[in-house]
Amino acid sequence: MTTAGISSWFTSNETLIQNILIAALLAFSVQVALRAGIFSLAGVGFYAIGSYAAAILVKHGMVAVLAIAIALAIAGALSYALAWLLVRLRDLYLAMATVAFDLMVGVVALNWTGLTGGSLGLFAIPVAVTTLAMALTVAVVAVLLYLMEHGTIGRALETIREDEELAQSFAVDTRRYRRFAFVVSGMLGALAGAFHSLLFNSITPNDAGFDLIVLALTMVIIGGFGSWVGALAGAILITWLPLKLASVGTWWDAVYGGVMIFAATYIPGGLYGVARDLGRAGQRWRGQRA
Amino acid sequence: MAQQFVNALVFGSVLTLFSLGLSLAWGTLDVLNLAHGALFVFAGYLAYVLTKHGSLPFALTLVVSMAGSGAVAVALELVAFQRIRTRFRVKRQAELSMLVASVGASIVVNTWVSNKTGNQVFAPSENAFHVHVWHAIGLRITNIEVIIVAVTVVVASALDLWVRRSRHGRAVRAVAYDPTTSGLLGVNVNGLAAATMFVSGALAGLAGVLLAVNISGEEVGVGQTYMLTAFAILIVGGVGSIRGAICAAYLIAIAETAVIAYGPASYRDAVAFLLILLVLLVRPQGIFSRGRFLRA
Repeated sequence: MTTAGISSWFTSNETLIQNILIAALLAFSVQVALRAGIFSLAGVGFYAIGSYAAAILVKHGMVAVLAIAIALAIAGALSYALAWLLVRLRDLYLAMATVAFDLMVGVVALNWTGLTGGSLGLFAIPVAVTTLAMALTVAVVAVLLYLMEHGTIGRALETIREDEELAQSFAVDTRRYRRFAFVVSGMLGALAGAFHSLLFNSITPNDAGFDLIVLALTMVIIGGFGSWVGALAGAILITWLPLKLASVGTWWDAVYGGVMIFAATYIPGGLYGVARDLGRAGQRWRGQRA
Repeated sequence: MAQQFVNALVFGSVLTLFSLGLSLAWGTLDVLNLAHGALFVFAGYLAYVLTKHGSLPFALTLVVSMAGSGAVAVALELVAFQRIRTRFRVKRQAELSMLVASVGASIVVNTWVSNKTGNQVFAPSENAFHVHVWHAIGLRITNIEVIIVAVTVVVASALDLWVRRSRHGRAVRAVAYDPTTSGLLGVNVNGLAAATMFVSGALAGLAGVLLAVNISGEEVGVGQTYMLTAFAILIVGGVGSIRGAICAAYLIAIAETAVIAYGPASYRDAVAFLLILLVLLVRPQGIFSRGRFLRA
C-alpha cells in the first residue's frame, strides 16, 4: 500500500479507530480486574467520572494533558477508597456492588445539574485529543499491562485469582495486590471516559449507563480475560462487527445476544483462550514429530 | 399518607413476586439471572398478544403467559446453564459464564419484544380485564391492586412452604448446598434445576402480567428498572432467603414511595443503590439472614 493509500484508508476509518481505542481502554479496565480474580465492573462508573472531570476542566480552559491527569488522579483516589470499602466482597456480590456504584454515579450525574448539566449532559467541549495521541497512549498502556501480566506482579495476581489462601500462605499481601488491580482498573476506565468526552465533545449520563456495562463485559468475555491481547481483540471485534452487519438491521442485537450465550457456554477463555490452546496443540504436534 | 401506604403495599407486592424468582435461582443454582427482567417484560408482551385478538379469560391468559416466560427460562437452562454447570470445574468461572449467558439471553428476548412491538408501550387489552376503582375512607383502590396483593400473599406463602416442607423443596435446598453429593444420593440435579428455573421464570411472568395491567402499559426498559431494584432486595434480604426477600421488597417499596412523595423524587433510584452499598458494608449476609457467612 502506498503512503497515499494508507492515509486515505486512515481518513475513511478514523472514527472507527477512535471508537476502538476508547473501547480498548474500557475493556482493559475490566480485564485487569477479572484477571486478578476481582469481578469488578466499577470501570464503567469511573468512565463517567473521568469523562465529566476532564470535560469540566477543559471547559474551564485547562490544558488537555493536565485535565486528563487530574481526572485520573480523582479516579485513582476514588477507586482506592472504593477498594477499601469493598474489600470483603467477592465474586457475584462484588459484581453487584460495583454495578450499584456505576448506577449511583449515573444518578448523581443526572441530578447534579449545576456541575454535570443534568440529563442534557455537557456539550461543546473543545476537542482536545488527537487520534495519534490516543493510539500512543493505548500502546503505552498495553506495554504496562504486559509488564503487569509477567514477572512477580503477574504471578502474584494470577495466584490470587486461582487460590487466594494459597497466595497468602506464600506471604503475598493479597489485599494490597487486589487494591492495586482495582485502582489500575478504575484509572483505565477514567482514561477511556476522558478520551470520550474530549474527542466526541459531549457527554451525557446515558453514555455510561447499563448498556456500557454490558458492552464492557461482552468485549472482555468474547476476547478473553486471560490477557490484554484478548481485551483488545474483543474491543476491535465488538466495535467493528456491528458496522459490517448493519444489513441485519434491527435484529443485529439478537445476533449479538446469541453470540454472547454461545461464547459464555462454549469458549470460556474467549478468542485469546482459543488462540492459546491452538498454539499449545501446535507445539505438542511439532514435539511429537521431532 | 394512607394512600401512600397503599401505593407502597402494591409496589412492594410486585417487587416481591419479581424478586422471589430471582432469589430462588440464585439461592439454589448460583445463577444471577440477568434475563429475569426480560422474562418479566416478555410475559407482559405475551399477555398483550393473547388478548389483542381472542377473548381468553384473564386467568387463562395469565397462566399461558407465565408458562411462556417459564419455558424461555427452561430453554436458557438447557442451552447454557446446565452445560456450564457440568463442564466448568471452577465455581467462580461458572458463575461468571452463567451471568454473561443470561445477559446475552436478556438482549435476545428484549430485541424480540421491542422489534415485535415497534418500541411502543404495550398493554393487555382493556376488554380482557376491567379495572374498577373503589373509593373508600378517602382511599383510591382498584380491583387489580387487591388482586396483586392477594396473589402475592398466596404465592409467597406457597413458595415458602414448598421450599421448606415439601420433598422437592428439600431436594432443591440439598442441591444448593452440594450438587455433587445430592446427585450421588439420587437427586435428579438437572431435572430439578430445570424445574426451579421454570418456577423462577413463571414468577417473573406473573409479576410482569399483573404489572402490565396495573400500570396499563409496559416497555422493555421497565424490566431493567425492576432488575436493579431486585438486586437491592436480594442483598438486603439475604441471598436465597425467601422471607428475607419478602420483607426487603416491602421495605424498599416503602422507602422509595416515601422518597417520591416527600423527598427529592429524582433520587428515587439512588435509594436502592445506596441500600445495597450500606448493607454490603455493614452486614454483608443481609439483614434478615441468620445463616453463617459463606460468601468468601
